[in-house]
Amino acid sequence: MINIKDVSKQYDNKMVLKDITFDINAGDFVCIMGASGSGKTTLLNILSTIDNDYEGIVEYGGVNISKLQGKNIADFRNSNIGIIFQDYNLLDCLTVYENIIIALTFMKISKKEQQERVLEIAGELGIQDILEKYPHEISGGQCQRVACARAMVKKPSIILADEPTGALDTAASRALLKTLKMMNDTFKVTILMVTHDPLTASYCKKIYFMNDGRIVKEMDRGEEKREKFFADILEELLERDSNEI
Amino acid sequence: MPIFLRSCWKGIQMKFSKLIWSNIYKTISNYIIFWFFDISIMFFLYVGSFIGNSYKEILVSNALPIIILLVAFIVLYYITRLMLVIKGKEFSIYLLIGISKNGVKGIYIAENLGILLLALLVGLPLAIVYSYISVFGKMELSTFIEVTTKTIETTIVYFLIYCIYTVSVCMYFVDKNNIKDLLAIKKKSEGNRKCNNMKQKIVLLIFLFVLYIVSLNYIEQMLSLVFLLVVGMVYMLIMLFYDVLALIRKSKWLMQKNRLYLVGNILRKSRSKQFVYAILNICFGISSCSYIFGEVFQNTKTTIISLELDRIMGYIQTNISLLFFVTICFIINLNQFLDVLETERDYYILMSIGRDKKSLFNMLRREISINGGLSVLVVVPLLIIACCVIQKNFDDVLLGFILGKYIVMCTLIFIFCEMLLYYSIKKAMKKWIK
Repeated sequence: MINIKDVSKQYDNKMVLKDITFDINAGDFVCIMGASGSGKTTLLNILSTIDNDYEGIVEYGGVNISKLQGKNIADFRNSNIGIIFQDYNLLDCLTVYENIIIALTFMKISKKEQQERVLEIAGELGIQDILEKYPHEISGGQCQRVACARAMVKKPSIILADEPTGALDTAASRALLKTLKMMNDTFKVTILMVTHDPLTASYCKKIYFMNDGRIVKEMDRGEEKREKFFADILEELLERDSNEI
Repeated sequence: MPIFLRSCWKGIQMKFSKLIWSNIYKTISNYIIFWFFDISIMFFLYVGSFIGNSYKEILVSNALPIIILLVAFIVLYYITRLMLVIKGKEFSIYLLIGISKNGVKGIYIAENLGILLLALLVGLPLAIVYSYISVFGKMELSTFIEVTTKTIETTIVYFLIYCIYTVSVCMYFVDKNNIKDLLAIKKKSEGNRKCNNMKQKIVLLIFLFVLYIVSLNYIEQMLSLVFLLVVGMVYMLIMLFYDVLALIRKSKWLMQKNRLYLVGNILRKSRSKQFVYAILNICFGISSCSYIFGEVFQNTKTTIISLELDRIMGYIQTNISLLFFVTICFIINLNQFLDVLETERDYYILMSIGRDKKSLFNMLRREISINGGLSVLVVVPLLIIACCVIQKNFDDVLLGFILGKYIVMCTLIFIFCEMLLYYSIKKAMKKWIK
């Protein structure tokens, strides 16, 4: 579904991404792990088409997104990609309902369908009671669920999540990860998540480890249980830590 | 020792002076609107006093600085509240790290007084130069120096009154809020405008309108009342505009393209901000009326005091009104620019959910037009009342010519300011998007 070939990026003569190559299949739940400054968010910005100043090729279903410009790239982002940010990035001036529906107002669908879709996704994510509230009136966990709903309501083919549990407590993080897993299992949405937290990463099916702008290791969960996969991730991190020492 | 002096002294004692100046420097964009406002107040206070001191026999001219001071008091109250909204988090952090409330008060008061002092240093010389140019060739130099000395003294007295008021307002607001309130103050004011008492507002508006119609028959005796009625009506209209927007928030009409964010963003403005904006718009209207009256003083053959004095008064009045118009126009636009800068994060979010640069920019242009349209809404009723008064009292004035001249001049100034704003925002947006 997504093919990333030899993607490199530099800031002020410093290479932050070096020849990144990997593929993501439809329905995957992929995680990119790495320490701060390893290039995870830069890669996510490229994949989300927010940053188009890079070398290499990024293809979504055969479409080379580096060649898209202006309105085309915005339309592509609107219909194919949903983004969830660490700090939720909800519009403070709009209610929860308006924050979700705003993603649909840019699409050519009827107002009735817009409303139905919002109510449906709000019901799925358990936020139907807070639709009339403003972001500052709800908790961090609820804000993140609203951000998920905004990403999901467009029915995108892929969801990109940048440290989605970064600002949440343990219970809210668990609830969010279960929501993402449910979205992946039930709606078959492809999810690419960036995190440095092993517990969060253990919910994924596949993990790419990044270091100094390169992908250094790939881990596949296969049929393993989540607890076992979590232990494997920790082992891998410990090994990498001792190697660095 | 008075409490505010004790607070200031405590601030200096605690070696906060460096912090205060670095704060002013760092938050210059927050303070710039405050600074411009204070400069214009100093400027107009001086010019008002200058007219009063030059033409003692005209009682009404002595009232000018007092009216300016009263308007300044109202606006300052809301600007100070607004500044606390912007700086609430910063002050709560000071309190959290152990600075006492008096210390925070000291910092806030000293920052505001620093801005006032800077405004005096800029506004006063500007006003002296302006008054010299205005009376050049019409007043002897010795008289000018005598009047100027007296005016500086009067302005300093007004300045001190203004300072005491500023200190009191600052102390009132810091006293009123604790750490929790300061942290929540911004959140409370965001996006929660609801349609309040709309029916009452409409009833009051109709009542004011009826009063206005009735008072037209006694316009000579009740000029100030009629003026207040119109100002009240204009204020009600602006607040009704916000209420109507809040009311249509749930309509399906909003659920397309840019409208949803546009309305949300206009309503995001806190009540203080909406009030300041309404007052600025009313000042806009007052300057228009003042200009028309100034032109009439210059052009009519009917004398009020003496032909020569009427001409000079009219001349000064038209100039000062135009200058006031430019200042208000500039402050409104600056206000809008700062508002847009505050929404940088929103544009990033909108882009991430699929907006392109062009449509974002169009949305911004529409917002600027709506805000500009509000100003027109204010000026038109005030111009109508001014014309009614003129027609009733001065038959020999070419009203059409004066109005035409004024509209052309205002349109040019308005277009220039809007273009400046448009260009600045475009430049800022390009930087964010990059």
